[in-house]
Amino acid sequence: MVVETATRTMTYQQAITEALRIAMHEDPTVLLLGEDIAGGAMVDHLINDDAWGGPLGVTKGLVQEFGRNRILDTPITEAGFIGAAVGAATTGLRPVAELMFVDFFGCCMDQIHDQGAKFRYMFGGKAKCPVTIRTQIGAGMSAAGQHSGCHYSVFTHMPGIKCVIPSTPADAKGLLLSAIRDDDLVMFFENKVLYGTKGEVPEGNEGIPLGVADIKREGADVTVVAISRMVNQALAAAQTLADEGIDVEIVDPRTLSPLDDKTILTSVAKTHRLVIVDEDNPRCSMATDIAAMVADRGFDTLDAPI
Amino acid sequence: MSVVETSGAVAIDRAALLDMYERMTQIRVFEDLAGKNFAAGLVPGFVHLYAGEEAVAVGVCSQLTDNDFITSTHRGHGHCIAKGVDIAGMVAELMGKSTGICKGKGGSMHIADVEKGMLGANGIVGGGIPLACGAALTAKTLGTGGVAVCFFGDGAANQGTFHEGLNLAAIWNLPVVFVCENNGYAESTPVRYHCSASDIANRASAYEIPGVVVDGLDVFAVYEAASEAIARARRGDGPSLLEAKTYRFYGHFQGDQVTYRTSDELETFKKRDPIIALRAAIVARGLATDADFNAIDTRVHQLLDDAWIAAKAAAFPAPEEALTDVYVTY
Amino acid sequence: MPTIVTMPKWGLTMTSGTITGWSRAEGDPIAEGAPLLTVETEKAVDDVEAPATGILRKIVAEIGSEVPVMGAVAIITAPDEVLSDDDLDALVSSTAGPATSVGGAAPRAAREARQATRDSTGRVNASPAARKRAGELGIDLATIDATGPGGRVTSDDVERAAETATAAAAAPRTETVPLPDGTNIHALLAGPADAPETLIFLHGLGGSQATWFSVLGDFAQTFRVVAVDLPGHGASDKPSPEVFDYSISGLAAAVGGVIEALDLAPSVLVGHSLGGATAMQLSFERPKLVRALALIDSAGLGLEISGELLDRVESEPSPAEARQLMELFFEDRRFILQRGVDDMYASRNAPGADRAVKAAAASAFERSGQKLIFIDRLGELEIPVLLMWGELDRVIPARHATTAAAAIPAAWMEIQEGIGHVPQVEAAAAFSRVINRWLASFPPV
Repeated sequence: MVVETATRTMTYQQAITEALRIAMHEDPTVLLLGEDIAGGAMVDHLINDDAWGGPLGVTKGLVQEFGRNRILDTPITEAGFIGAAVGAATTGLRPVAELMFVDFFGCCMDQIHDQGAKFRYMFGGKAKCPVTIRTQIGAGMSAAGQHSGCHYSVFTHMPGIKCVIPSTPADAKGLLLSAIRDDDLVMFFENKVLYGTKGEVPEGNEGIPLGVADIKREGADVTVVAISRMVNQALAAAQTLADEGIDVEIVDPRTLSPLDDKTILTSVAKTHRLVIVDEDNPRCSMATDIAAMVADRGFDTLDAPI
Repeated sequence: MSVVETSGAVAIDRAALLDMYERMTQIRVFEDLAGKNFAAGLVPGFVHLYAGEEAVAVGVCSQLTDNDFITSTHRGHGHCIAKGVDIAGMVAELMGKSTGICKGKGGSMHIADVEKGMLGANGIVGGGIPLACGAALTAKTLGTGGVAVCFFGDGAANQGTFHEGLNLAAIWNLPVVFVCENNGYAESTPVRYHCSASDIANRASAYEIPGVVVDGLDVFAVYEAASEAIARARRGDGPSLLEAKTYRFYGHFQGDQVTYRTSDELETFKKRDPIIALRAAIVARGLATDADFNAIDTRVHQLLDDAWIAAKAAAFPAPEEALTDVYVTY
Repeated sequence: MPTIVTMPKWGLTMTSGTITGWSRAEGDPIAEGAPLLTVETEKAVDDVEAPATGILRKIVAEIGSEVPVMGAVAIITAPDEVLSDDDLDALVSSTAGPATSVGGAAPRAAREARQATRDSTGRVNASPAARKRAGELGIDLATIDATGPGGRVTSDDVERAAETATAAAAAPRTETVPLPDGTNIHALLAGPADAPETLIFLHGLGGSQATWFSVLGDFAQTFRVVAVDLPGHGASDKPSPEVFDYSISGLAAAVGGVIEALDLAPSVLVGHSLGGATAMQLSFERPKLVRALALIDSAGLGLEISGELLDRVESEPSPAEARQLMELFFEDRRFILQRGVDDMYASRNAPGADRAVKAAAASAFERSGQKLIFIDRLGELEIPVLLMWGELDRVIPARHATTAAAAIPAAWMEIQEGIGHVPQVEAAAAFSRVINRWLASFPPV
């Protein structure tokens, strides 16, 4: 039986807010912490109201609903509050921390990759670390050198970290719900330029499983693996190329760790050609990693350089 | 009255005193054997021994339950034993055996037992400080009544996480007790060089929380100061910073030639051995005899000897274990 | 799901067909297998059966229109299926050419093929996928035209080269085979060279390999097919009966020569009428050349032979005689086309043809009946034998099949109801079906 799920049109940002709201309702141990995720803490006229609701308003409205004990404004202290989120996750909470811009990872990386990511392994499987770290990536807002990076390849390098990177509002909602419900440390990369983009988003609290790529467009001539905002760019390019007779297949990995390499290899085996569109810095990136993976495991399917 | 009065108002009864003596002896024997077996090539990796500092771990942890959390350091064996982690499992873990408390995957520097509230020894200096804040946040959010004790060394007092953690705990009023074990050296560097403060406890004032210096070789002093800080945290009055001035009898790590301190200095501190001091204090008050202590010592040696025999006989983890208990795909 | 009725491909060379009649009108119900329309080609006319049960929703091609093979002629829908005119147009246009790609991209200009480039060591510039596929198919990369950038051979290029090679090997071609006595025998060859079976088709008295026209295309998809013009027939030499033995034994010797010259042994012989007797003769004389026998309305299995046939053969060739012969052969008069009559008359008029046919007839038949009857020797046949007959055959009666089947150890008998002497033309689809089923019933070589 196919169950038709009702959908509504909403923005990427609204889809994320909705997922946070659903997760907080379904699990009382879920709490949010980050810099100015409500804003205006201890301001008399904002006791149960937010000043900002996050720098771009993604968490706006949640403090009214859940109070300041679950929507926890932090000082500007990335190592402190990311580490606290990791510690809380190891001891019984399910925190969602917001690292305002991924560029700030240098201030807190030890707590992510040396602490949270490694506990379960180092402790012989007897610990878990169900923390989700939401962070903004991407250029396109003229935010210059320290607020425009992507850097997800830094995190995909590390065992123990799952990396989730939605390109559409529906994916953002479903993947964030799965990220929060996951018992490992999950980095959730939100592209700031996508916040205003609209799409159909299913109602309900269904998550999208991590590690399953989505074919955003089927085609026969060339596979384009596109990540995050590059999915939209690739779709537009595919339309142009279709007029020239080139039929593009677009694979959106949706999660980089785990990477759905099977879907990528299957697509390349069909089209024999691979282009990877990645906004991150090119050296030692997801693009080079996927290229290496296909060269390694799909070499005999290729008709052209990657 | 069968108690030892500390200098303040806290009294400790005979059973608790003998238990503290036994724990401290367990730590000492554990470390002596660890050093010996490391030299014999039976312990892989890096090993940092806690001998000399037993009064701090035991003075604090003897007042905690499994409902309370501690974070630890690279010199973590003493904290584990004081918090009640299984000693046989620890010995096997040191040897990297599959019967280890972490299946042999943590080793000396990452021994942990979350069920005992022991959140792991930690290879990163200062790494545990934010984690303790998180554990305290859990206790506060869930209303468990638990506290988090954060052990760290004098070297960690200069890390950003120290300042971030103290500030965060202070503004959120978290039930944390920060315990700085100042053993005089960060690796090979004396505290008088690496730290701007004559007493690290002074730094508490910057965050407007209590800061107390205690003699870390005196288990009674540690006990009393910790008692007050723990009570304050449980009451919901927020964090405190204790600085226990202590000394390590071994080097920074096994293999350290310890060229940075004199043998006179070591001998001076060994004369103040905290275990001997505790035993003397108990004897002085007529609460136990040499026979009592000899029985405890024999029991501890038997426990450790058995643990090493079992660990030596145990199997190493299967190679495929290297890729389990972690999310990873290649 | 609507079903698109398309122009069938009959025979090896058919490229289009002309619609000569519709047996249903738009809106009529139709059952799968029922005759739906009649199509005429240069060489045949036949009914096209409905491929599905439903409503004849639309006739795309009216009577008189010529439609390419695989082109749409009609659409059948389920009774309750609703389709707009736009839907119908889309369906029709979807059959117009090769299938379009999934993403709906516009057709791309094919990159010009060129000789593959090589590096300084002479290594052919080929993609990894092309190198692997060429290895699998055993094709030399150097022989493949490249369409990739910089003269690189792509996997598509390899597939294309493989298809071309297969098609070239399987393409129909004619061979002229000289026998030891100098007589040239004409044969039509088609189908893959590495096919599991070789089928050799032998026509009847006065005929030619053209009698197999409707069925060879089908068999050539799977089998190697060789349709022989017997001596004195079709395009083969027609030496004088004074120097050539036109008896069944002589014809069989010629066929044996062809099998040897083309290295086709052992083959499945499919013989019609006098060709059937020739096939039997060969399998008795040279059993190693024959691995199975399909006898179609065959001579040599009983006494009776149509007197009218002998009358026609003995008379002087004329268009009227030719037409009467066709009428004797076919039950369904639609198969008697003026073109067919003209062809038959022309072939009888070819130099040496008439005397050759008369000699062959006189050697095999007389007024009292067939001269050479194998019925007593059939028990010796250890190979699979198919007996197929048109139920209403007026040249050699169908009961010969029944008699023969009782005498042959491994016989398979099929009687085509309502059909005359030439089932391979009058019931071509059923003919192919039966032969294929029969071939599948015994293990390959």
